[in-house]
Amino acid sequence: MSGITVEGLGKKIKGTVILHDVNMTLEPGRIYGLRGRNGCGKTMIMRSLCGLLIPDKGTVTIDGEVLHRDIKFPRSVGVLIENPSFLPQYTGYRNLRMLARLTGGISDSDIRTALMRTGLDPDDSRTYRKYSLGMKQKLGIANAIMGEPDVIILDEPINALDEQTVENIKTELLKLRDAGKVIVIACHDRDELEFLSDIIYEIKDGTVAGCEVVGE
Amino acid sequence: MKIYGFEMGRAFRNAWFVASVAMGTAIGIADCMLCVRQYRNIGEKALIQTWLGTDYQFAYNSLFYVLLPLIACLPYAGSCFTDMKSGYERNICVKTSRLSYMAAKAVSVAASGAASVAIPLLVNLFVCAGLYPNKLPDKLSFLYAGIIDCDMFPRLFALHPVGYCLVFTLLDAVFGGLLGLVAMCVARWSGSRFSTIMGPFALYVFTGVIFEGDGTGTWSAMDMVNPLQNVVVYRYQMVTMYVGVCIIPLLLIYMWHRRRDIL
Repeated sequence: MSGITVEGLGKKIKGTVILHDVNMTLEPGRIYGLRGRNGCGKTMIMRSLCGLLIPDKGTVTIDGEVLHRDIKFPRSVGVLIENPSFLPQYTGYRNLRMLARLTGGISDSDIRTALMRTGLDPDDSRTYRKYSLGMKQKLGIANAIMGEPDVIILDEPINALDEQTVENIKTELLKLRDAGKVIVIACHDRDELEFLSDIIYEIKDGTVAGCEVVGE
Repeated sequence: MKIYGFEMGRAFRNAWFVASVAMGTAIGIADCMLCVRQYRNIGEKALIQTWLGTDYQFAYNSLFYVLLPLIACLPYAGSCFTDMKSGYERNICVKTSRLSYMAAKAVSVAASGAASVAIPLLVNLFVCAGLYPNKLPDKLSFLYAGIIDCDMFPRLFALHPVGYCLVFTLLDAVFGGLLGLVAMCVARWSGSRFSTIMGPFALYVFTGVIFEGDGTGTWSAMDMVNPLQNVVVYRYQMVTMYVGVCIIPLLLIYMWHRRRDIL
């Protein structure tokens, strides 16, 4: 894929400006971090990247196609935004299998791999309602990386995860980056964000206030 | 088309669907058992007089038709609310278009509502058919007199009673499906899954009481869908009610969908 271009993105909700003139370029093979205070618009930017927010102004172009004009939703995206949510009566594996069928092209072994990458047992017979907070978060990440989509968007992915799992997730994300995926992460842990990200966008009052290339 | 299979699977493979069908079927079986206890040996009863839809002797007919919105909405109508509140719809809307998702949701809500109303009526019809002969209705019975006054298939009732049962089963199933769509509208303003499901029920009972009037030319949906036709229903009223209950929710769902710009 050729990447994502965000141009002049703007959004108002009930008269309040949520996003204002957001411009970003996201290239494949890089991890982008979004940093900013609570309510600054990080999640809204992530929503707009995956088509969950319809902007009032501006465009999101994914691989040359404008979202909500040429395409209704991104062709290949994995998302974890806010809290993970799945069907409580099914196991983690079954939840992912149902969602994988919607996408198509994701095999059962892809699902098992995604679960194992996040430290979940694909053969665990417990239903989602019996999962701990950390397990729910892991399943959310597994859903986002299942089938290795071109774009991976993760909002606070390491919330509620133990140290060992955080290390595993970081390793997996770096592998996905090296495989040429566009990865966007929002995280309040400054150190983790700097460790993972190649480029960090500073978000303030619904717009991009700065851009920092990590390591320079 | 994958989204339709996905939503249909969720609608029909869930415990609420089984519970709803079981509830309706239990009412029908209870009605049957009471009929058997009282009339098995008399031999004067016909299938049309013992079918749940047209059995005026026991309270089970009223019970089924009062509970009809719950039977229709319990299986899957609340899922629109839960998907929205839990954020599950985000998992879906990054994999398919929002319009397809809403359309698939509406179709599966309507289908599960229709099935959960139709299955108990059909099961009851089959059981009654095994127990009682398919005789033409007794012309002197109250039942016959009630239905012949109405504009809703009196000839079919008099000449082909089973056909009458099947036509009303179909009408009730369609109405059950439409009630599911009403629940989807209620989900927009509802605060819980419970109120989403209870919304159509409250509306159904409220309009049933308000519009019953003097019993002639009623606009009460509760009376219209009951094959017993205790009050006079004209065909144009039935058609108007069905078209209204179909178009208004679909229009509201579409407008709501258009206005939702953040998931």
